[in-house]
Amino acid sequence: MNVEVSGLTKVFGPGVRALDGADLAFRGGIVGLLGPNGAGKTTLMRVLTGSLRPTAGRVVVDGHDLATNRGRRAAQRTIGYMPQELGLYPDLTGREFLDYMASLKGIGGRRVRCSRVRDMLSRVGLEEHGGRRIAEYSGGMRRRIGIAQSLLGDPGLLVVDEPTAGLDPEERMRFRSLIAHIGQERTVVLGTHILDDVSQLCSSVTVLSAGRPSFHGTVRDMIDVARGRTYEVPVGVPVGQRAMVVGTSPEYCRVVAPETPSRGRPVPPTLEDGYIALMCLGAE
Amino acid sequence: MRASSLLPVLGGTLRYEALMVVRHRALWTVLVPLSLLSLVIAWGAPSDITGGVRHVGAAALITGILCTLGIGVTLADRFVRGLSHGMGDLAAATPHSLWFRLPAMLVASLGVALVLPLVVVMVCVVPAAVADGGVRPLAAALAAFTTVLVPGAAALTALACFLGLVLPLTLARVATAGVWLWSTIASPQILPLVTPTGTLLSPVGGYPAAAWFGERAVWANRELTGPLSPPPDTGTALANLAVLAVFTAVLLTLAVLVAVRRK
Ligand SMILES: Nc1ncnc2c1ncn2[C@@H]1O[C@H](COP(=O)(O)OP(=O)(O)OP(=O)(O)O)[C@@H](O)[C@H]1O
Ligand SMILES: [Mg+2]
Repeated sequence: MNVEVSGLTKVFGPGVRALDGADLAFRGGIVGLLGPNGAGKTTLMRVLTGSLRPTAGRVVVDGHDLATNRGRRAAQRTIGYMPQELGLYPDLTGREFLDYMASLKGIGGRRVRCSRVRDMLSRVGLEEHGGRRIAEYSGGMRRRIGIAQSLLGDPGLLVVDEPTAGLDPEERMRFRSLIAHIGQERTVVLGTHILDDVSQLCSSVTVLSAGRPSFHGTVRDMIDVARGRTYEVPVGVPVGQRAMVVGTSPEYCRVVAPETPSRGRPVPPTLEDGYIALMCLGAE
Repeated sequence: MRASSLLPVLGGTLRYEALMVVRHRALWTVLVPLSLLSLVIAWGAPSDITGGVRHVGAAALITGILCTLGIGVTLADRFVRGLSHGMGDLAAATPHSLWFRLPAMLVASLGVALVLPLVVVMVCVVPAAVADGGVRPLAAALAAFTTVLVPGAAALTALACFLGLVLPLTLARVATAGVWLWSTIASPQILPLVTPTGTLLSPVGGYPAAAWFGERAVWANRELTGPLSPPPDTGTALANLAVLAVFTAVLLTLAVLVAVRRK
């Protein structure tokens, strides 16, 4: 499913431009959405799902313009969304909550909803807890309910905002395989700070900085930003002012630097090195 | 919105909003004592009851004054909890229309909360039926509940839910209680205050109670005169109900507009 964004701006009040004329296009696959805190990722995802109106600019999802009521509703029928801040109804059980969300998505027929809900609960490993009140769920279980509700309408575009924050390793693996499976035929926008998730899952990466995309490319393109700029330097040796230390071991510091530090040895970069290089040094 | 997707939205909202009100402990903590108090005040020994219909009309009026206060104050959070951050984002990303969902939320919440006041009024039918020696008070009680109590409760709860959207919740609850007392009890004869009490604008239910259930006219116009305080009869009672229906509709509309603007 195609998503086209042009000139997207969201102003939250004097001086707060969360999105600043962003132009973007997503054409299928799993897109990692990266960027520092406050870069506008959540705002972009809220606008993409039609839950927040932009101040200016245009969003077209699968040919539907979100600016019109009709277009937004048509697009929302095919969008699944998991927000960063999940405020579920604590006094419903997981099963009741999913059924309520399915109703709001317009999924008709009690039987159809029931079987969708059962299916989703088992996909996120909560089938045994579906009858418990959400108030009694752990943080990770709530996120799993959040993931389950995002998949209810069999969405063609799935927008998930930091979905794996707070998940235990086993659940994170389960989530990755779920998303990898979904991403085979649909468009997934995955907002995250967890670069491991991006390198394992994403076909492309978009980085937002101050409300605008500052990079768009494949995971390999992003790694390449740090190619020839990543070094290991013995601990204790000064690394230079513009170098960023990205890791340390007892013997070596791993740094990303614009030029070779003294006694620095070039090493193959990782996605994290690429991201740091992009943020601190720019894309060449 | 397509009818095929409207039905699940309405059905789901009615069902689950009602269920959440059933599980809303604060509501019952407030409403049970108020209902018992209403029952104590509205109850009467059959020997003291001069007319069964009038007795149930009075019961609906008293129960309405006390219970509606509790209902309005505790239900002020109903809209905001479904529209604020987190849950609001989730719901706003679904293709439903707030023009259908918010009224359904109000209906579901009120439908559950009004069960206790209904029980109180129906219990008061027993001595009234004994006094009358017939079941006429039963139908009168249902009619009184519907025309005396429900319209005011709907208007106040719509106001409370709207205030909950635009004010901090505690303030919204205090304001709701204040508006209810000001518009039903605060009489201009007692307090030198401009109030709707004793006029066609009051949600207390005095006009229908006096026009149709033999209640004293003082409940309707507080012995005031003037274009807004006509003597109670069928026409003025209907006018009072129309005013309350308009209030409720306007408040719901404002709530939807605020909710849509928030996006
Ligand atoms: N509702 C709001 N009202 C006012 N300002 C807001 C609101 N939502 C976001 N902002 C501001 O917009 C900017 C972008 O915020 P956003 O939440 O989109 O960032 P983010 O990239 O998702 O950050 P994070 O990685 O911390 O989740 C920030 O400056 C934030 O303070
Ligand atoms: Mg965010």
